[in-house]
Amino acid sequence: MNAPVHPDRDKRSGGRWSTPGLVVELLQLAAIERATAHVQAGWLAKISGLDQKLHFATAVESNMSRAAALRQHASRLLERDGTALRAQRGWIAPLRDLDASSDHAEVCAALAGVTGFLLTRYDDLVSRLDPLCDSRLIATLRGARDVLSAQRDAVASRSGAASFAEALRAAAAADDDTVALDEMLWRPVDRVAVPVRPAGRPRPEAGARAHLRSVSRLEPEDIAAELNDNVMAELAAMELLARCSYEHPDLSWSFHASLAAHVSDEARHAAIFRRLMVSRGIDECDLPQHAANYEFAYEFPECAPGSKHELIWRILILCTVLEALAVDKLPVEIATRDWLGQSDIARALDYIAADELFHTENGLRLTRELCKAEHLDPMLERELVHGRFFGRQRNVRARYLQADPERAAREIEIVDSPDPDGIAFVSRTEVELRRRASFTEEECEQVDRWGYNPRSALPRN
Amino acid sequence: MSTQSVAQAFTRLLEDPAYRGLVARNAAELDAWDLDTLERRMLAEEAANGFSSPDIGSGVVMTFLRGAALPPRVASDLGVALNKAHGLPTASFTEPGFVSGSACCPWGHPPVPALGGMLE
Repeated sequence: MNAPVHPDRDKRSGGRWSTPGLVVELLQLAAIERATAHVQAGWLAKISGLDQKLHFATAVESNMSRAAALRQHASRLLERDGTALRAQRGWIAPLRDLDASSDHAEVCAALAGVTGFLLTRYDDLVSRLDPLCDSRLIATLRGARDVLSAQRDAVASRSGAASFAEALRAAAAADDDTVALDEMLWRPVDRVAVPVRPAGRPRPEAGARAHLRSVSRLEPEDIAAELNDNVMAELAAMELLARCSYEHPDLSWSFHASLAAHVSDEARHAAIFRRLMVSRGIDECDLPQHAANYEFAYEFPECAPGSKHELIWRILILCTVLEALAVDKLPVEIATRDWLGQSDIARALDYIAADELFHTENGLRLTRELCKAEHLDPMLERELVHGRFFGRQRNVRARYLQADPERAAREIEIVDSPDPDGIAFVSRTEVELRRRASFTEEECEQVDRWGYNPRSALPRN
Repeated sequence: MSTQSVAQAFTRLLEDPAYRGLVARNAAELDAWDLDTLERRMLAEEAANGFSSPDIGSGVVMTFLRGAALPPRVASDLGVALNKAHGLPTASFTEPGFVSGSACCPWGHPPVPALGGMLE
């Protein structure tokens, strides 16, 4: 005897869930959050104001986290049927159009409108949910509301925000064909070889070191140059990783979530250094600015523009070479600042050092996955990008030195002089820390061979 | 094992011009490596072509090696040899005017590039 056919639960009186169309509503909100993260990741490098840049960077992670949480709630209600995680491209059409804009002010205003739109939608949705059955979802939405409320207070007055929120409302009401949620995003509209910086601040001459220490670390002049260049390095890392996310929307949400967390960390680091500058009365407006590591690592003659090979090289050099070397160098920097009594700087560096391990582990994991998919060898590719990246540094520095022999002689004298503070601490390849970040023994030996540090004294397996 | 031999033989060809000349004149010089006929022919052809710089990393041997599971040290040595062949650095700078062991992370304060493009 055939078993009776189950009644369609979606046709139950009042619907299957506490509010009709709940799953579609969650998918729509997830799509808008994800697309908003995408726009901001692309625009980070194209807007000039540092405050706005850092706001975008922090928001990339917030939007991405909420998108992933909403996707997870939808997936749960769908009993983990991945094929049912679908979205209408029309829902995010206003954001796609916005991304193609060339007007920075329009983009900033519109993204403020997204905040207002989401707040209204989350408030409305919470009011219709069952406080017990939907308690987990309500907790997510209330958390989102707190974050968005703070953002709205900061940007509420932007003209254009309300009209963009209205455009999103109209798009959300449209009915269109659906695509897989993970495939709804559009391809990048541009490439950005040089990120935008605030107008009016000087840029060092090509080949000049961003900071060449000639006086004690206790001197205001040195502190200002050091902290300012730290800000520049954090900005460059933040912008490059954001572009890595934006230029590869086809990769998994977990890939983008990892990059978004990293981008947000770099923004926090830049903010930490800027706060130190403010607390010491340093005005950044007169200090030089650049985006050295971004520019050196954005594209390479060996890699097709926009290719996964290029993406792998960017992440390899930034996360598994530069940031891993920061893991080696930071203990010395921290010890130096403690020894000099600059506990505020030492504490900031302690926080940053803790993040560098995550960044390095993140980079190792992502590049191992990408190399496997692209049939590339991470050790070989790391060696190759190391050569290209530092070859660029060498060439630009050599041209600078050759252009003015007297200047070169002065700088060589400074470089060869004893440390102005008599600092005797020496960096090491931090093998134990690197292991915790998932570096293999062979990868530790690779960096040892580069010679940036004396070989670690720690015992090896 | 064979791909490892190809990588190691190619590394030697890149780093040792005299050996490269020998192989270019007489492919039997490759007999010391564990290679099959195709692999020997590829390496001999690359040696005879003389490694014109822009193509070193994308010639038949590197195309053959793509996706091969090389031992880490073999992969690293191959990368070093390729970088040397391209005139690229393989270790920390030690020249006058550079800071040894530095320019490698934000606390090393790297030199600033020329605005708007890379001159390779």
